[in-house]
Amino acid sequence: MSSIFSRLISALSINRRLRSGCILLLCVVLVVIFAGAIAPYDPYKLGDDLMVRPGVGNHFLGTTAMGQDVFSMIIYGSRTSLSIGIVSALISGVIGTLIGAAAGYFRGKFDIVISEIINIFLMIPTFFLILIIVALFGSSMLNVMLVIGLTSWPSNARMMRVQALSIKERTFVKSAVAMGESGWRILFKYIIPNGIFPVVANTTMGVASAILTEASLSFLGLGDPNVVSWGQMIFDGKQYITSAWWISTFAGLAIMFIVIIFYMIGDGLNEALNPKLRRIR
Amino acid sequence: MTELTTLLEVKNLKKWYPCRRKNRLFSPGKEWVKAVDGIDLTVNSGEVVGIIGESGCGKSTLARMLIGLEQPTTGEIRYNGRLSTDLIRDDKKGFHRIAQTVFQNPFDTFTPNDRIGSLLMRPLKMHNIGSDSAERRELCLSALEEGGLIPAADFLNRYPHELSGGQLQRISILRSLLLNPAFMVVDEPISMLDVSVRADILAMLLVLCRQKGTGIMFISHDISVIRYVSDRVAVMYLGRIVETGRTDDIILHPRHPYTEALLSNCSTIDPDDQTEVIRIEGEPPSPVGTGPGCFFAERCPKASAHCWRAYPSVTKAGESHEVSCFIYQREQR
Amino acid sequence: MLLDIRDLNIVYRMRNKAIYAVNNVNFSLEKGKSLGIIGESGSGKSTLAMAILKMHNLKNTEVTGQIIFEGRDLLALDEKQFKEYRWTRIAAVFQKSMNNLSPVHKIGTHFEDIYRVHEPDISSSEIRERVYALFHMVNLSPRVYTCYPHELSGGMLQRVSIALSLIFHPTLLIMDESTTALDVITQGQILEEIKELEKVVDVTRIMITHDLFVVATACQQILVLYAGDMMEYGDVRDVLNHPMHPYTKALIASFPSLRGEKREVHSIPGTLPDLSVKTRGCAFYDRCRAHREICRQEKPVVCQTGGLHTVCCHLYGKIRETDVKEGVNR
Ligand SMILES: Nc1ncnc2c1ncn2[C@@H]1O[C@H](COP(=O)(O)OP(=O)(O)OP(=O)(O)O)[C@@H](O)[C@H]1O
Ligand SMILES: Nc1ncnc2c1ncn2[C@@H]1O[C@H](COP(=O)(O)OP(=O)(O)OP(=O)(O)O)[C@@H](O)[C@H]1O
Ligand SMILES: [Mg+2]
Ligand SMILES: [Mg+2]
Repeated sequence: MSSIFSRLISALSINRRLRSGCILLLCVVLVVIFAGAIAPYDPYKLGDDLMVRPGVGNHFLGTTAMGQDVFSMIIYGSRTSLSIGIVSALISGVIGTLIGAAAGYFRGKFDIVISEIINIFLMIPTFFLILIIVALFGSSMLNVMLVIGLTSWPSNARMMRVQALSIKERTFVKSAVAMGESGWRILFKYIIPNGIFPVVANTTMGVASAILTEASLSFLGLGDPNVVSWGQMIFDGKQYITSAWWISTFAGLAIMFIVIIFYMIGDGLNEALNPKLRRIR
Repeated sequence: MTELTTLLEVKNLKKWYPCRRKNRLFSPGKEWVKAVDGIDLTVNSGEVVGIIGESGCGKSTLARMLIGLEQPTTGEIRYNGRLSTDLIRDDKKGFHRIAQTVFQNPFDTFTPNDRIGSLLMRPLKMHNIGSDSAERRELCLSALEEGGLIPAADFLNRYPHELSGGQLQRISILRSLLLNPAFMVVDEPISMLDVSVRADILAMLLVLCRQKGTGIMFISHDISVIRYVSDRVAVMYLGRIVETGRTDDIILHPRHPYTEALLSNCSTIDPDDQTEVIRIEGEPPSPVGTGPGCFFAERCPKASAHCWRAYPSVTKAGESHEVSCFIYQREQR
Repeated sequence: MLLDIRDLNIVYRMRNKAIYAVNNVNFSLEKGKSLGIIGESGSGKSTLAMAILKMHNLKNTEVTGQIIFEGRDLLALDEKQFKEYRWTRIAAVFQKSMNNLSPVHKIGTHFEDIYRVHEPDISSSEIRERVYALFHMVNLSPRVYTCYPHELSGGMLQRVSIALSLIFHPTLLIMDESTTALDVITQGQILEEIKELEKVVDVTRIMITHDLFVVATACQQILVLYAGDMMEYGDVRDVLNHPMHPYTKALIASFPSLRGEKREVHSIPGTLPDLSVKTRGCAFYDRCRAHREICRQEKPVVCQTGGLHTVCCHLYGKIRETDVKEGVNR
């Protein structure tokens, strides 16, 4: 296992995009952790100053129509976005890895069924599926996480399945079978650790798209109304876009920023870890 | 020597892989890569059977089938009279203690994420050899030392990519030996070892074979090694055995034209060696679309018209020396 | 002079220790004079070969000395400058080359990729034609073009690697045990083809092998390595017929014979020393039958014993100490 980390670390030192992505992400994580200390106001508190322009008074980025401080909302909104993004990407990564690896390694009927499911998922527009489910089951944060996670695993599964198919032919897997190792152990000890890198890269990209999905849901009014989120801010600010542009704009910029960070990391990982792009010799 | 009992018996074993073709539309009908195409063979306990043959003739495929890594297309494999499929169904783990292998490619035999220590100790743990991990570690250490990998404790801590080809090859052999199998098929186990290390490793294999009665199938391209270790030799060509017999019969008096050519090409470093090299010409052989004649016919210097029509059946060419070639069928008549 | 290696030292730094894999190796290679390198398993042959193509991960490997190829020190070049050498001028078939084929791509794709990098506007059918010609050289059937690596046998993969290395007719070709998985007939045919190629284009080989027969037939010079140290170097004929170093002698004596009496295969008693400790004396000391006290105390110096033949042993060290310097850099 330690060599997985050492590979990640060596990838970090080679790839500049990956490195800067990671540094920026670290900053965001610090913001998330110390949100309480950084944000000057309580984002849920409805203040007296309504729709204050940015820079006026103590409101660095202005306030909303309800008098909430935009800067504090963005700081706190990072918690929502990041946790939804990461948790749902993790759900989809874990499910995708397990199902894809099992399908590719064990083959048989299971594989046929899974391949069909993957194909169906990749064909239907998942966003509408998510929309319907959220509309039906309510839009708490947990629901949103689960729904995004449970609908986005097929791309990971497809990737892992291809990896499993090729790793299965490698001699070290055959030698493990010849030693009497059980199927499940081979799956977890040989197939997954050796084939997970593309999935890791894909999952990182998945965080970005999960954040976007959440924002879109909130924008359509299907976000969790009880927490501050960037999508929600855009939704709320939409009607004041001519009179108070800052409400939506800064939230949009924040989304863009974090999505770019995750794309940088995902792309960097892809480049550094993908065997296809590695020099042949 | 102990009394010979039949340990492994292989009957009409075949492995055909479906062939990928460019235009499936225009040439219907399935084509096959006939990697192994009907092999009959026995290995007795306490005996080393050498397998030689051209690169790509199906030796490794045969090995993979024998240890249950691949399903034969047809044919049966019996260990001590019991079908290998039954053995695997009843006790999968137990089967892998009967039949072990050493793979051809040592660089890919070990998972890159583990250290040599855990790679060696894992099979021991799986098969409950040694009571605790300290004892297993001792077993591994002494095995490594025996294989000339010194300091042994240092090797346990290394990753596979930090070792040389020969070192990995030795570790691969040692790992299989630790399980004390009843049958071993070793696929070019010493190709990356120099002559002096080779001797030690071969000695280890032979001790196992002679003292514990393990049957060994020894695949190699190095015929002088085959001569040194094996009791019997089988010569393969495009998925079939063309000649079998006792080692010295085959090496000193080869019958099949392919064996003759093969042996004449092995020279020694001895400058006085005067053997004339038989060149064989022709297209590289392919296991796709073989037959109906003798597979070797197109490259055979002694081929006659007859050879293109049918595959020669097995003919006795001496006590326990069998050959599939028309030349000897005619002689016998 | 095609290749001149001077004072090459290669050290692998591991977690808590260092492995001195190659120590003070000096040799030179003239155009057309192929070199065979032999030595015990783990004595640093592949490490040396990888250094010539700068394949080492410099983060944990120290490579010092000079590798002068056609007048330029390769070690001083940066990765970008070296690009024009790698694969086009200096190519190699490494021991593990066949593992580096990507398992999800067909064999043909590997060739196409390499061609496309160096000759961007070459057509697919042209590539195919050239690859078939290469396949013919290494005795592979064209069927292999559309196979995946796992569908090939060990020897076929090895031949694919050889074909890959021959794509651009390199000036220097390093073959690290690249015929071990081949039967003698195929091996003979390939060596013939490569020698044939040498007559047309200038290719010089460095062959690493355990098969003295290959060295005897296909190389002009030989280098004997032991535990990272040079033991003996010279013309193949000189060294094989009149070995001087006790290790070379023992190695040649243990080579089994195919015909004639079946005899015991002798090994050289003992094992390769631990490479993580730098020995003061001769590396072969504890296995040497002719060792003396001085062998344990001092490293033997290189001494030249006529012609190219140099040996690194105290038994001969006294003969011509004045020539030492010359001998080193010849
Ligand atoms: N999984 C597979 N799918 C298709 N063809 C295969 C597969 N495995 C092996 N083959 C083919 O079967 C033939 C025999 O291969 P095998 O590996 O058994 O040869 P071998 O005798 O071990 O050769 P070598 O001495 O080179 O290792 C080859 O032509 C190879 O292309
Ligand atoms: N990446 C590495 N890190 C640490 N040690 C290494 C590494 N690669 C090789 N070694 C060690 O360096 C020594 C020389 O290895 P090398 O691969 O050069 O041997 P070799 O002469 O090619 O042997 P063989 O004939 O078995 O292939 C060996 O003892 C090996 O264990
Ligand atoms: Mg093979
Ligand atoms: Mg090597």
